[in-house]
Amino acid sequence: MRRTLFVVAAVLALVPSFADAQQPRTLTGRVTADGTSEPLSGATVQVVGTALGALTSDDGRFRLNVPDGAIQLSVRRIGFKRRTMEIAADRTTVDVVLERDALKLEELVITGQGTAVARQNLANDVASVDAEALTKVQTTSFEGALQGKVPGANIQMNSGAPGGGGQVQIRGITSINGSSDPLWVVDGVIVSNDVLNPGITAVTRASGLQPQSQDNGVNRIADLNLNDIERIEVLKGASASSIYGARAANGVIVISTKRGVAGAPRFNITQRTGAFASLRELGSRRFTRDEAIAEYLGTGKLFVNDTARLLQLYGDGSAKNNEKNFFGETPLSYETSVNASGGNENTRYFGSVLHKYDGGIMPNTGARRQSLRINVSQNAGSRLTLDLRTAVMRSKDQRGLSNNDNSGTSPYVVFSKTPDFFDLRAANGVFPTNPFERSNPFQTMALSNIEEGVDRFIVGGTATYQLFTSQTQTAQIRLDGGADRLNQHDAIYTPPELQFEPNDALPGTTALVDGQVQNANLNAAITHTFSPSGGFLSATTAIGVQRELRNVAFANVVNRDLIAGQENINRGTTPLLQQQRQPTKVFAVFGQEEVLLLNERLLLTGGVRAERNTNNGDVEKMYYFPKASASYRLPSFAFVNELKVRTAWGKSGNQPLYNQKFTNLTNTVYAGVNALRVAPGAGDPNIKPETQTEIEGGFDASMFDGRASLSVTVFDKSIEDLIIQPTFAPSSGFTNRFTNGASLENRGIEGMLQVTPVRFRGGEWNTTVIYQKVKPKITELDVPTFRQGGFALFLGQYQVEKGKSPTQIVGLVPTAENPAVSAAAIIGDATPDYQMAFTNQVSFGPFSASALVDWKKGGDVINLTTFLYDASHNSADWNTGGSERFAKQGRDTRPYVEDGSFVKLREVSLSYRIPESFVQRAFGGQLRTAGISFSGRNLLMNSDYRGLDPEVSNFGNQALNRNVDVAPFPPSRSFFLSLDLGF
Amino acid sequence: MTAYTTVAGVRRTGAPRRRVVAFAAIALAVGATACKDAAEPDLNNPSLEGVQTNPSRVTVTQMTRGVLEGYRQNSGFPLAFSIIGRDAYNLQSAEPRNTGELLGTSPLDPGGFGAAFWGGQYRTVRTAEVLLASLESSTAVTDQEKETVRGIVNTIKALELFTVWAAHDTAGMVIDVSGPPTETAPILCRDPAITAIAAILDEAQTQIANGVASGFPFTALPAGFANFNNRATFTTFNRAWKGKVDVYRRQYQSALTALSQSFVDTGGGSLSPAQARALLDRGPVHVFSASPGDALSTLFAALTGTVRAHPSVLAGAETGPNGIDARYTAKVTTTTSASDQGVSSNLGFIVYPTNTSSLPIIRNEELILLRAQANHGLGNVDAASRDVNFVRVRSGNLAPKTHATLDDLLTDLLYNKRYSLLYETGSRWVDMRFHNRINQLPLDLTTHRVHANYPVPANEWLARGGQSGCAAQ
Repeated sequence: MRRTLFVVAAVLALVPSFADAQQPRTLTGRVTADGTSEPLSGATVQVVGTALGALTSDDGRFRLNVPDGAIQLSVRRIGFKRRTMEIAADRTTVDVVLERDALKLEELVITGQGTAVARQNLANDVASVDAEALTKVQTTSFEGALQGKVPGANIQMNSGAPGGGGQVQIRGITSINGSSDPLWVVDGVIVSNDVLNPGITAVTRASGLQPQSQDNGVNRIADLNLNDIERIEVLKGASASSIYGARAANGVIVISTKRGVAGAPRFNITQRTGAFASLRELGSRRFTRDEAIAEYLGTGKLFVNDTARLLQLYGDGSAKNNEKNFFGETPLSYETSVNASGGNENTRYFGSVLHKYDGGIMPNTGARRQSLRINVSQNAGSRLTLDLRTAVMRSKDQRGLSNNDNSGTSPYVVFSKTPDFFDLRAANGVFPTNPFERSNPFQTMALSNIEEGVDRFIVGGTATYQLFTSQTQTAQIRLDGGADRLNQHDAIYTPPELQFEPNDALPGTTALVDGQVQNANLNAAITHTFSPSGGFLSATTAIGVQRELRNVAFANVVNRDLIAGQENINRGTTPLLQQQRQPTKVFAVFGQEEVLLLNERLLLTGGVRAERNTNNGDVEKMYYFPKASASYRLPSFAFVNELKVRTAWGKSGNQPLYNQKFTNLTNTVYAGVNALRVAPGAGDPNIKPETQTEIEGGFDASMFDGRASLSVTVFDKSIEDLIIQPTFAPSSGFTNRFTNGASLENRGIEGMLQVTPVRFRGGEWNTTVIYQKVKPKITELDVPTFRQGGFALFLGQYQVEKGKSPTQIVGLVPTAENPAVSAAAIIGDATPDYQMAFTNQVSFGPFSASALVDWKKGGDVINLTTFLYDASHNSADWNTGGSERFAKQGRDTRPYVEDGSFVKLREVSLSYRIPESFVQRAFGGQLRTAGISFSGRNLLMNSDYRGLDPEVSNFGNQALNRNVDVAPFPPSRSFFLSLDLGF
Repeated sequence: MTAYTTVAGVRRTGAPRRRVVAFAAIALAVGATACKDAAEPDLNNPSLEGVQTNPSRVTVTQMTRGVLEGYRQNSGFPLAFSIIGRDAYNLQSAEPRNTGELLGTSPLDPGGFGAAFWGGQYRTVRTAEVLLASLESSTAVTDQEKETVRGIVNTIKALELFTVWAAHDTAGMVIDVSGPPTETAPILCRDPAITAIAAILDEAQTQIANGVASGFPFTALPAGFANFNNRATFTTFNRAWKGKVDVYRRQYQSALTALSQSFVDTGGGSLSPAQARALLDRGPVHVFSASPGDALSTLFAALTGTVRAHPSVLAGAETGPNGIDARYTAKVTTTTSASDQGVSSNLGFIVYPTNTSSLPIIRNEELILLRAQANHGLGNVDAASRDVNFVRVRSGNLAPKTHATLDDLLTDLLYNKRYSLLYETGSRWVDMRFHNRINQLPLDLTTHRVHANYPVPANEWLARGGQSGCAAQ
């Protein structure tokens, strides 16, 4: 530590010894687009070799103080190719025309804290998704907007519930018991993507009464307003992300929000209106009268000998479509988004307001989002730039009941049990009592109140101070950081009169969760660039420190046996209380060197981060995460305009979770006295971060005059000191313990091909194909093979075994010698064989159309929803397959572990942009732009999977225990019509 | 500290003042954040380490209560035992294993449902071992008090081990849990295992005898032990269990001796029905409460819920001059019909009227029947018959029976054990197995069979590097 500080001090001491910059002169000019002569706002104009720069205003104009003498001026803007031009000593004005850059080679990609590299030089494959791709089609979830757009990321929703809940897994499984979540950074602020479980288990009893992972919770990235986002970059593994340290092993998602553009105020309004509709239904068995009698009458059957009762319920036996009726809601959904931007050379602002409502297909469900953002950039003098970004968000979700259940309340559990000849809908305002299961979902959802509200505030800022600029050197200090604070409040109320409520003799349930997440981080970095004249070298050095504080806490209460009509938690007789706090403190020091050589053709990068963290067993120990990379741009040959070959190596970590180092006692109250017992799980006092070493290599080629580009990357990630939770012999009194005891390897390939097959004046057709494949393998395991996740061996579990895929699914299979005897065998793997996505965009004059198709090949799912239907002899295919499947249950798990392959039409959009000249004439200049579009999401799904949706996770966001399907919230498709207006 | 050095370093270069300020800001940031973060204890739970050395009297009380709490938490086993013993169903569609696997549609899965009655019980035993080990170092507790703690804790430990034994029978079980968790103790076969449990009860008796007569640590016992919380009365509880364990290890003479030192009592002279009921119900109980943090009954089953009595409970109940067996009417009632996977019932249990109803740990009624079982084992038909008839008349309100043969006696004894202990001890399954009558349990469907015992859990074998048999010694 002492030595690191000394280095920082030494650098600080050196910087001021440089000579002061020369006296400035003023250069003004205008930047326009090639062909259309459209003025380009927000372009960066910079004096090469210095930090002197300016942004163009909305009429494309800029004003810049430049040193005396001849200079080189570099002009760049996202979407256009960079241009560098010589400016003679006597010139004070210049006009610059930029060519379009379809392949986005000029984009600056943030590669470290305080440094960025142009995409054309980047040594890592960093995926980037821009604002247009994010918001072209309305989405109910943040993750949904990324699906099919990031090569190397497996993005899956946990269910179809409105409001989100999904997982981004980058380059395969990276952990088993650690966090599986990438690090999310918004404008330099490390933001929370925690899930605070809402506690519906108090009703469903999926596992006890206290909040737990089967509650279908929302990971909180869902609070962000997608319309505010300028760009998302995905750093995929340790070789790119090591500078972010011990939470970066799962990748880093770097989000930049929009910044103001200098000029007169501009407003954009988008109004979307649409609806959601059920995407798939399971259906259920059609009972003939005889079948109903056989099923429900007789000794040991539901109605024993009460024929009259059964026949009365059977009625005419017609299909009552309970499932269809229940999930048949299509409430009006809408999104109103307004943003404003403007300012001058010194002060620029961006502000936005969002009000959005996504109605759910289950009664009384939906998700509301409100957000207000103000981003301000201020130049204070010529050296200091301040950037302040604030956003206030309010989310309100009603997600109903779903997932696993032991109380007969989760709708699909009820439908699995209820034959379709019995109508569950209310007749004359009275909900029928369901004789086939303990509840009637129509009644439950009509009378219950299940709501989650989140208030969130994210504030971030950057202060950049130019210490020094000269023709050859610049140095700046950059302070950035911020805070993310959210309060989540879940209230669940199921009144005493519901059919299932008396079953526990405590009619009426109320549950309250109050959660807080506080994140704060501060980075301080010094960046120095050295670019001697001649252009053979440009070196950027960054060194800095980082502090991060995090606390996830919640308190919850469950009370039952309520006074009629009273929701408050003190109105019951059996309160249960719980509180959890999980603070973490991180301190890190980092340094990075980037050298651009040979006319910006060769980029060499090296860096290291040292970090300590209070979740580690040894809180004082620094862990080191180095990285190194190289890229070289080959000059053009044949049809190849440019070919870049690249390779990168790095280490990154995955912090232990808060509780993994502690061995505890649990306490319960027994007749008024605290009773202490050993806790079933033991911690490891020496726990350390999982460390990932990744090496990747690949090439990026731009061909046919920029009409085609191809990127291919292969990677090999090896993760050591994997935190596993091996089981003790249960006779020890402990069930398991945490320990660093395994290694995992992920090898894979990913690629992206972009082609513009047709281009003519006024129109073009762009097509993009993404491919990814990853193969994980457990390479070391210090303990015997163990099983994890799922419910039981005969219902399918994951088996962690040396030399095998960590996501392999184990179940019972009859043995070859004696089919009456079953034994554990591997029967599937949740990791997909490969995934592909196809995007096509056609534009012709004011019309444009696009479609995104997402294809997952392989990846098995444990389908227990079908198991539930089969167990009640109620599956749609009972007579043609269900009975056969169920006859094997308990002996053969294979019928319930299914291939989860799918092809989904993720996004479709058709838009028409009303010609600007017409708009401006028609509205007398009041209106600048206008467009109208139709969009749809998840319109079609093609999958042989028997359940609702192979994109499912009963246990929510999990490193390993995903792809378990138990009565989920069903998927939906959505349609929206939008009107975009610009003032 | 470090920050000042940095500022001084900057000054030496003679840089302008504003630059110094900027540097100082960064340097201060470095200095401030470089301070060490202390290792903090778990904010959410008490630590194991904290109780391992020199426990206070409060800690000893709380750990003792923890052992009893573990036993209470595990007191729900009679439901599963009653399902396998065809006294009950749990018709829970969301958990089809209750009416599938438990009724024998498939073998008990050692990786799932079949892994029950093992880890939970050993957790209590481990808690007991942690307390027994840490007690040695306690300076707050006198040597005599330590003996009492040991006596109490070892008694409860034996009861937990008995649950494991009753569930696993010939599959075997672990007795010694005092070693480090990474080392596995041998799995003893049925007979050596129950012999070891009997020995623990004897050891506990001696420890109680060496301990204090009353007061602390007996005050560490919860309210359900109100009449069993001094040296003399706790010993009768210990001996009651020794008697029960001896019956199942076929040491009938020893069982009679132990039972004679227990609180078994058939009263004297004439008893009113209410007095008889009170006498039969004597014994310590688990108490439950709805207070925050406390537990609700492990066996309470709402009539509207999924637990039902097996139809054979009604079919098998005898009718005497005063009507159907009074134990049936006291414990079972008609409720809504429920079904799952081809079985159904409209009979619900009212053994525990509310979710805070106490759950007997061992009752005088059981002790009388255990004495009959021991006498039956010794061929003392008259003595056994007397006890069986006492229960028939006093508890079942039935006419007494003449037991002509040992087999008749056993049949009636098992009938009475079934109805006296219905949905209370789950002993029907254990008794039918013990007396080789498991094939007499009724099967509802041809796909059903009666599991003879639970398997050793899969994780137990995994930790031992593969499956093998139990150790005969």
